[in-house]
Amino acid sequence: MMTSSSAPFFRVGEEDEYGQHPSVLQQPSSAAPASSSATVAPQKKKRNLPGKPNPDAEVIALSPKSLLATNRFVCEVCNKGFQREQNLQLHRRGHNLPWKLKQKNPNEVRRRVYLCPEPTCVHHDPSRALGDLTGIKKHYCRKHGEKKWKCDKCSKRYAVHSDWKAHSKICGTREYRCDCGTLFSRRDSFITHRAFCDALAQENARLPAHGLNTSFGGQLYANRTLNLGLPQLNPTQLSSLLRTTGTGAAGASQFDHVNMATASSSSSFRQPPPPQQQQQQTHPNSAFFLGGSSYSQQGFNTEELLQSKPFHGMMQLQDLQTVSANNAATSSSAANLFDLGFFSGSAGNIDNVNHMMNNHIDTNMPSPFYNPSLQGEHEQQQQQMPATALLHKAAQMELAAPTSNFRPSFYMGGRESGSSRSQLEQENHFQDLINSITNGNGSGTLVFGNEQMAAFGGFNPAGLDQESKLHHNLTAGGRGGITRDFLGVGGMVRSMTTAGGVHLGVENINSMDSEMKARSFGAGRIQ
Amino acid sequence: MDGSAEEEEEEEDDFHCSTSSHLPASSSNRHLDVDVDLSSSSWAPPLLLQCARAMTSCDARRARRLMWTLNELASPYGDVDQKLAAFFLQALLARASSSGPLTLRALADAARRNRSFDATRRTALRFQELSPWSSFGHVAANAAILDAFFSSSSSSTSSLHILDLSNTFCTQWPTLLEALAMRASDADTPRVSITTVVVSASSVQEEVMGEIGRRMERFARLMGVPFRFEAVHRPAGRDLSDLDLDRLVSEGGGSAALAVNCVNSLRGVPAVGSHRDALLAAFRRLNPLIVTVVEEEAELSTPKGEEEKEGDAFLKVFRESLEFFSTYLESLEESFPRASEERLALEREAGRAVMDLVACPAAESAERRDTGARWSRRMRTAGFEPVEYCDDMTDDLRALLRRYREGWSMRAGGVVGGAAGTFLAWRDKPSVWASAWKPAMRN
Repeated sequence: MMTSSSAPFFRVGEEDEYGQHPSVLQQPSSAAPASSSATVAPQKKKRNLPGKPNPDAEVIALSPKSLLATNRFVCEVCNKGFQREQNLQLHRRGHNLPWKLKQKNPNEVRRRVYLCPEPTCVHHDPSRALGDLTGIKKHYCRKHGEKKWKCDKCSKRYAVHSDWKAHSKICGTREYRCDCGTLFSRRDSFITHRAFCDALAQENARLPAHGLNTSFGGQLYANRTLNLGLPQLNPTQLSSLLRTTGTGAAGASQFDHVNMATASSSSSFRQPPPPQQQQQQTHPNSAFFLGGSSYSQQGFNTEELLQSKPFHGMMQLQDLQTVSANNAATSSSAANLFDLGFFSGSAGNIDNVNHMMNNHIDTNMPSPFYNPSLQGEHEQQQQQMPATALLHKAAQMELAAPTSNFRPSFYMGGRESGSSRSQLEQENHFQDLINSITNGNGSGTLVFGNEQMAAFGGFNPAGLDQESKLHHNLTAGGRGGITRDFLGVGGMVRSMTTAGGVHLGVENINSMDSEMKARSFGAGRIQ
Repeated sequence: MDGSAEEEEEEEDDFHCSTSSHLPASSSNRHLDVDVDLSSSSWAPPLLLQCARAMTSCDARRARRLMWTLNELASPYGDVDQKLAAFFLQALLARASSSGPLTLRALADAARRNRSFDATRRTALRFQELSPWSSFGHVAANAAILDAFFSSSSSSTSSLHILDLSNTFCTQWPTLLEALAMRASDADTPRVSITTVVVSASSVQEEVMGEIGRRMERFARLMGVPFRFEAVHRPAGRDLSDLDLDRLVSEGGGSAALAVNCVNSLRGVPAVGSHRDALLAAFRRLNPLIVTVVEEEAELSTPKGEEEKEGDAFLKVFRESLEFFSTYLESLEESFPRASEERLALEREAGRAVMDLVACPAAESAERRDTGARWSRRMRTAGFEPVEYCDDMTDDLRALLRRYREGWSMRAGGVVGGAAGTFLAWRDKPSVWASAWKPAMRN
């Protein structure tokens, strides 16, 4: 317990292992590089350069105990502790005790510098003494003290309370930005993302940089973003971009980034057509057009051809017009996707696309409207049937008696045309089982059947008429082929419930439950 | 339609569910001939359980009736109950027609064919972003590994070899590498080598792992951590118990500290026979610095496979599966947005797991989870003792949970059957178990 004196920081009476006499006026200048001027102007409080203490100053070496002590001034009445004597005096007023605020006489006061008691510390040497008591206390705590304060969110530890408070304010508000443009509020998701991010994959191996900080400068430097230019984005990535745009900042920034890249200049696409083609070949299921102008070389399989056809009939010009209007827009919609895909700065393509849309029914052609947001799961692509064709087929089925063609695959995965014999047998087996269950209760009683039949009821008959011609095409394409794609209502209906089919007639399907409505992603809202 | 009054009188007592609101008079329920309150929040498990019971007791008529009802309601795109109904009914049908393995293979083929690096990455990372289900185990394991490494004398040799048996595609390791880089001083960042064992059958999987390896290496270079990566592929059906561990380890770095990391992989080792014990004993012989085990909590391992044929054992597994997947699907539903491709992929995976558990023999199963308590007993038998999670680690885990939505909590292992380690609980139901082990000192 310290007595209140004018110089409370003298260690008078305190034990100290360093044995220094506090009031020795040392002249550290012999050891110190006294580059600062020797004379001190007493009027103004002069700050020394950091690391170069005032050679005239009085050197104080406090013990760890006194450094760590808080509230050394204690009120005799209520035992409340205070850090400063002034505060104690003010408090004493409240007890009606005599109090006196002491003034420091600037003429008399000596500069004091403080030493760190830890012998291994650099500040233990008088030539590296610290000029501030608070400073030395914080230093000691930080470097040599126990870290008692811990951040709630990230569990970083601090010895000094104010450090901890300062950190808590910032923690969680800091955003990490990956080179690919995604924003993260959590460090761990950021790190994990970064490790697998395509943006990282594009960079050359850097010199080993310790820790993350050096590498995550995090700006979207224009040149680098070009690596994420459209040709390199595969369908799944772009579709996920689209999908996430509506769901939060991360998605938005991702998407904005992509838009920026493409809107900046068409010449920014580094990738020339050839790699594009390669890419197409390795992703034969991609109905997703990846920019550039060489349409004719896409090698899509017939299933997608069939699938893409009806779309054109429904969705032509209206969408193209929206698209052209949105050429530089940053809104997230399939229209924009189309923008990215086709226009790359040149408006002349609109006519081309129109032309192609109308005429290329019979040739292989990518359909950008083919809901890209579905392509996350490639397995769905092969099984999807555009809603219009589904409708027609369902209508057909309702009219006809249930046939053996109607094979409820019951949510089975094996629907590819390459399904094995045993697969078919198995499904027949299922059919028997289920028929026995349903007592031959006709078509559409399976899992998906009921929902869909009800949904079909709400459909625009005009749509059906339009599609009868297409249906012709479809059936002409090989009956066996079609029924094998979706082995019965289960398959068709299944794809119906996925947004690929939904977004076509979504406005008309009143009876669809909200689950399915929600499934019409942003990309599907083509009005 | 079976719905006549006579039928109803014939119903057995346990057809009534506790949630029943007695609506037999209403047309819809009469039509369905079931006395279950279908508007209650979990109608599927009772119905499914009754269906399974009817099947095991060969009550064909009742089973058919229940199946019809479930079929009416099931949907893999509906709510949790509808999904449960869809997956479990599908599996029951497969079981009834003895076509479980075939169906499973078809489902797996369909999924595998389209599992690109990109889709895999997206699903895994999104899952970790939105739910602590998988990141909990990662954080716990990494913390244990780092702690053991830095407090052991081998940190002076500055070399860590990780034998990784997991199904999370190495998403666990970037944070570990970063933490390692941060914690070590510039001069002596430890060398890290990871040997990851993947159970896969397809070349696609190999491509995926190849890409993963490349990215890991690049990332490690970025972090300034000397790094080696190796992926070992095991064909499906071959479990881990006959891995040549010694070769794997010695190639990784003979003098390095060894950490064995098992995330969701021990359940793939058949519970029948002594395979599991053999594998753990093999781990013990490697004398690792630490073994981290993360598994999902469900009692689905029957010690003798033959018992599966018997009704009781099957029903027990069925019931436990219902409960586990009910929790899992519910947590997915709450964590992901309404329309999510990633969640769909995870749910389909769950559907395959259900098919495996319900319709396929235990001896070939990859989904036979077990409880933390029972795994703990096995680890002790194998010569390991638990490493306690220090306060810092539990603080870290709690901080992790705070970053996710409501509903998650932590439970000490001891209160869940006397297990070691710690549990992640969804709505108070222990779901994921994480623990750390070191070789027990022999007296």
